[in-house]
Amino acid sequence: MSKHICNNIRQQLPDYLDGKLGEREAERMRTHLTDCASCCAEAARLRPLMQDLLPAAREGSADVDWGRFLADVNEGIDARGTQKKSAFGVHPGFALVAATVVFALIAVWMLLRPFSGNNASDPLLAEDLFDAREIETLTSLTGDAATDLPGSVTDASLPPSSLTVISEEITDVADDELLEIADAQIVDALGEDEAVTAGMDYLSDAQLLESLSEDDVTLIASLLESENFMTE
Amino acid sequence: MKQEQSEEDLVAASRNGDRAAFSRLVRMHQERVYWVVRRMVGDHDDALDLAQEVFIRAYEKLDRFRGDARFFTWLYRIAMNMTLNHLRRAKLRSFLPLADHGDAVEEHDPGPAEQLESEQLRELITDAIETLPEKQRAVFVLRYFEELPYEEISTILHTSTGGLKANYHHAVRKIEHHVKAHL
Repeated sequence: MSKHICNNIRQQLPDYLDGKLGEREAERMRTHLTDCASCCAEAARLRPLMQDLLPAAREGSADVDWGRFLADVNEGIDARGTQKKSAFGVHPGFALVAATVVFALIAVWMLLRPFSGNNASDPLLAEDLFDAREIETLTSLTGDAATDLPGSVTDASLPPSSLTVISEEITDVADDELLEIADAQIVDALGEDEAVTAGMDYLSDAQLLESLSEDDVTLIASLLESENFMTE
Repeated sequence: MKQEQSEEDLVAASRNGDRAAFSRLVRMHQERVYWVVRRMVGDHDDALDLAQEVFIRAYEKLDRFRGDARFFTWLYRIAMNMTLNHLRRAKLRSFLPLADHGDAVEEHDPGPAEQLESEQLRELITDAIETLPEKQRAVFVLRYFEELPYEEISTILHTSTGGLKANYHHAVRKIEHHVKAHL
């Protein structure tokens, strides 16, 4: 029996066992299962799950007050609407400029800041800590381009010691600059994609994550709250 | 007497700021949206929050709904995007040291002894679904529970129908493996 045919048949097995195949496809399946011992064994393996166990999981019940649910949705729309207006009420480009300035300030601060550690034992260059070009790129790209951005401050090519220092830097600035970035108004104007990209870059390395405090992660997660992949 | 409005009319009215019309849309779809999210995330409270957020986002983004898909398909798409983001964030948080983020670890509650067998089975299935990779989980929930055609799932998840069928088969196999190991 052709491997290609068997693959196609197996991919349809769950639907067949769940009664979702049309009559013609079901007939083709039955014929194949009669002739192919291997696919027949696969069907026998999945049958108890598809026909006995999973149906029990279909019946779900939840204690939800749907009236309250709707009221909460409406409250959320009201709250969000007010916030949106105030974000763009001053000037459409204001918050984007503010966010860019914040990023630039972080970059300058990191590049100029004297190292508190022992430079002799840690020959880390300032450029390794936070590449200003990355910041510039992050704040200028949008959408897919930003999402697909190769490399980041957590670039795997950086030595682990760099990652540790970077994470310390981010922790240090979290209360000031990052809080500003997390401000809903700025995130709104920064653009969801850029805010998310910035947040994702901070979060994209396990080593870095381990060094961040819970507050920092909560903060960054609030950036991600604005994430939306609807690409209408 | 006011005529019954179609879903299309309700969407158009909502787009023009008619909140009563949007409330009707919410009532029409809230339960299904809740369940698709609940089956993805497992947790009732998270599902409730996310489902509410789905409708809030939908209202905000109604201008982007072009009407070339069913309104509910569009809602599913928002729900899936938000749910997958939620799962990704939860996964990222799980990298944190346990001492810093104890609440990220769910305590396993075996449940009272008098619990119904079918309820235990549901829990086992829910656990099995939670072990699936995000994409497979999404495909499984949309295909098995929501019984959507592959073409519609393809619109929601931007994946070819061939890929979806393969994902669905893999998901079923993994669930079978998990259930078999824990029965």
